[in-house]
Amino acid sequence: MRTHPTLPERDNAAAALPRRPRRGLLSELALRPSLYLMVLPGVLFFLIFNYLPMVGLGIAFVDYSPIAPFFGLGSRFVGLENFRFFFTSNEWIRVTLNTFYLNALFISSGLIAQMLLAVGLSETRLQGLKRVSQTLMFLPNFISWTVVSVFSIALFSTKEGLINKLLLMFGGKAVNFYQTASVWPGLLVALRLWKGAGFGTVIYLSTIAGISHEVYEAATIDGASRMGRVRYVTLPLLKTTTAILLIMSIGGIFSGDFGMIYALIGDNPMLRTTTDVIDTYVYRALRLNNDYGMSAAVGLFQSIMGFVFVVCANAVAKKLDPDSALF
Amino acid sequence: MTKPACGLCVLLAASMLLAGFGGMASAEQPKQVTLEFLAPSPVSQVNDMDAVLAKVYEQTDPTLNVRINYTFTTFDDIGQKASLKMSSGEPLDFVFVAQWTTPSLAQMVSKGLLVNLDTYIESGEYPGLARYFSGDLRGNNAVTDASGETHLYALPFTNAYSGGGAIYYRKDLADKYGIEIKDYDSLTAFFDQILENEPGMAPFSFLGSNDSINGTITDLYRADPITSQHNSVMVSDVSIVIGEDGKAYASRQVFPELDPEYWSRLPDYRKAEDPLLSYKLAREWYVKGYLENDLLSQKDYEGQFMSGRAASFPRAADTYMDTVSRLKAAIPDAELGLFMTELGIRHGVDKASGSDFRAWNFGAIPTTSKNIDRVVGFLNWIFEDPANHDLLELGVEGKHWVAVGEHQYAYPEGVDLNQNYNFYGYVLTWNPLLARDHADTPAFISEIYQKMRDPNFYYKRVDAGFTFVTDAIKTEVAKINDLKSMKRAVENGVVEDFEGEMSKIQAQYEAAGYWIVVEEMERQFNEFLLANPYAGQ
Repeated sequence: MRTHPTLPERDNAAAALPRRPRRGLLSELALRPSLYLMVLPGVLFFLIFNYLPMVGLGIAFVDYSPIAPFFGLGSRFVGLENFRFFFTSNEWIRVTLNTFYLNALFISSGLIAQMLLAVGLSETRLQGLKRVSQTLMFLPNFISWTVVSVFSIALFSTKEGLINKLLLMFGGKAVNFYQTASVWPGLLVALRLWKGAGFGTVIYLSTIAGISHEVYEAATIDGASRMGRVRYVTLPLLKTTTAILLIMSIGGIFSGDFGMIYALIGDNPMLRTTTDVIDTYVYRALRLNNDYGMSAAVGLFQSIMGFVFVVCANAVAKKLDPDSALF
Repeated sequence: MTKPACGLCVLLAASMLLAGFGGMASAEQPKQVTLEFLAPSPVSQVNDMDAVLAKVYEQTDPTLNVRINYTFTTFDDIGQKASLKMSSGEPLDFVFVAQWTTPSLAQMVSKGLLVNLDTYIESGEYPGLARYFSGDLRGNNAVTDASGETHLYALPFTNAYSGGGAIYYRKDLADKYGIEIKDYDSLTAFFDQILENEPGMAPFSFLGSNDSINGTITDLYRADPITSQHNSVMVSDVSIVIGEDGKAYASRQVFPELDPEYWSRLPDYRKAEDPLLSYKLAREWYVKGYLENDLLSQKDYEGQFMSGRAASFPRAADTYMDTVSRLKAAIPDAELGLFMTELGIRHGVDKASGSDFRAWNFGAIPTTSKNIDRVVGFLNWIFEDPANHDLLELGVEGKHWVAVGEHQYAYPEGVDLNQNYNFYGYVLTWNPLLARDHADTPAFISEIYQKMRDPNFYYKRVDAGFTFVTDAIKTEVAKINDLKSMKRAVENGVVEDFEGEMSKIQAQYEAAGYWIVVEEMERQFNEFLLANPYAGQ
């Protein structure tokens, strides 16, 4: 009978584990065929839908024509010409910073709200209240941004909007939301939290469910109050999950949420200074030209920046806490 | 000859005769092919299309022997689906295209994706196409290709030479306040009544971030139709004016009224006006509350009107019947009024309304098609006989529709309109000479439509037939496209200090390379004028 060696202390783990003999790929596959077979659909999925389309990045360097060979990739090579449109515009720095700033707000506020909501739900003892709250929190996730934009007009409209009516009722002054750019980062964060924070609690709730009751019992025996258990047990144990979610979100930090921003803001020129992101800029500039090469060039820029940020965030996480790193 | 030998001879002769007929038949009837058509449609399946196509095949089988396989998609996807089908080598024989699809008609032509139809129409073998796609309709819908030649690359499908600019309004409310809307003053009097008596209702709603209203307001304000000296036009955000020397000058100013060179070339009646008139009028409408406060964020102005939250909105007159039925369905007690903003049509004066005679919808044959001759043959069959055209556009006569006179139709009694043939003619059959209106169309609307279909009613806009080829300056064009909506705040009266805002926008345009675009536009337009000189229209 095989027995597991006693696990050594973490610091010496690598040194203490016996070295495996090196095996070739084929012999490894032959040794555990059923395990690799189970992995196969996932590998194929990523290969077909994530890696294969990367060939399309070549479109960023050609004057794309649909009838050129190799699905248009054989079009005339133009080098970095397609990048000129974005990087010679006066707007690229502003929209890039806006994209980063808004996404940083969305990610940070989202993670905090999701964590707090999950802790709140897990601490709720009344099962009925818990279920009703969960349903109400999840529901907005299934409403499209287009529908939310209709709600938002009913809320923020200058003359007929609910908020302005309330402000006037209480002797305040109406705010012209659709001509005041400075209020929109806050409004976008609020709408995004309302729509997505409830659904985002799922991962945190499952992590909390996975925390052993023995840990809580030990804390209780040590005299921890309810708040103390949340503070010293639940929140520290959510650290790894938070780091992983953060790193995964950072991958898209240079991709603006076009669906949300365009539905809510549209082409309103007076709100551009704070709400214009890379995706809305590219849409406005290229929807008439429909230049695949230019669009692909900006997409490539966003992906490269996202990749760099993921690698950096992972490195920082690894340095702070090796368990929190993704790779 | 013995009897059996004689019988054998007869049999042989009969077989040869039959074989001969068979050979003749196969020589005349080509091998059957399926033509793949791709078009946008509000419905994914056209009701009873098989029955209509069966009638079509009855007539076309002996000569064309084609089967039509229509794939319908959404308006947003049509351009991309067409590109994908061509790039992946999927069969595609006829595709819907327009200046508003992505890629646009001009882009597809410049990339060599569409077949030149001039050669077919001029061959004399296709009289149906030659008859219905001639004159202004053909010449002005031609597109300049990469080699600089201009040809008809797509059949223009239109029922009129303009949409007929109009304002739809709540006639029941105008009647309630005793106002007959017939000019600028009565329209603004109607708006005043709405502001005063209809809380929660905007006098006028439109898509403020996309459309400009200052030009329409100024046209209404001017009141008198002008029938000559239409020497200016805006093409791709560049304002062009033709000087007395017959040469084009493209304004260096985004707001052309601020450019003295441009202004000096305008006709006297324009020069007598305040250059900033249109912006001041727009601002006046905004301040008075005729325009919505949040017009730059308006997304569904028609929805506003249909739900009783707006008293009027702008839309082309050619959608009158559709708008009436939608308003009746939404607000049964409401009455629809129509006020023409096109002065020529409103006053019934020839040559006061302009047209570039360009259609809004087209159909083209991709160069990748392996059945080009068959497609052209089928298109010719549609226009060879008005009955063929009506069969495809309206369905089987007697079953799906009945003729009312020469230019109208009605539905047979008992027909369920939800199940009736509902093909959208703008993807294949629309033509001003063959248009039929529903018999319920009011007489005054029919009169408007008759004018809109008469090419002699319009003056020819100076840009009719001109295509701006942007391949060499596409970077600058893209950067300027981004700035277009910046102008809307000024043009729609939202900004108080609009003159200051105009200077800021001008600086942004210049930084984006506006003058490169302007100079290229001026060069191309002057080349165009060599072959199409301005004739004082």
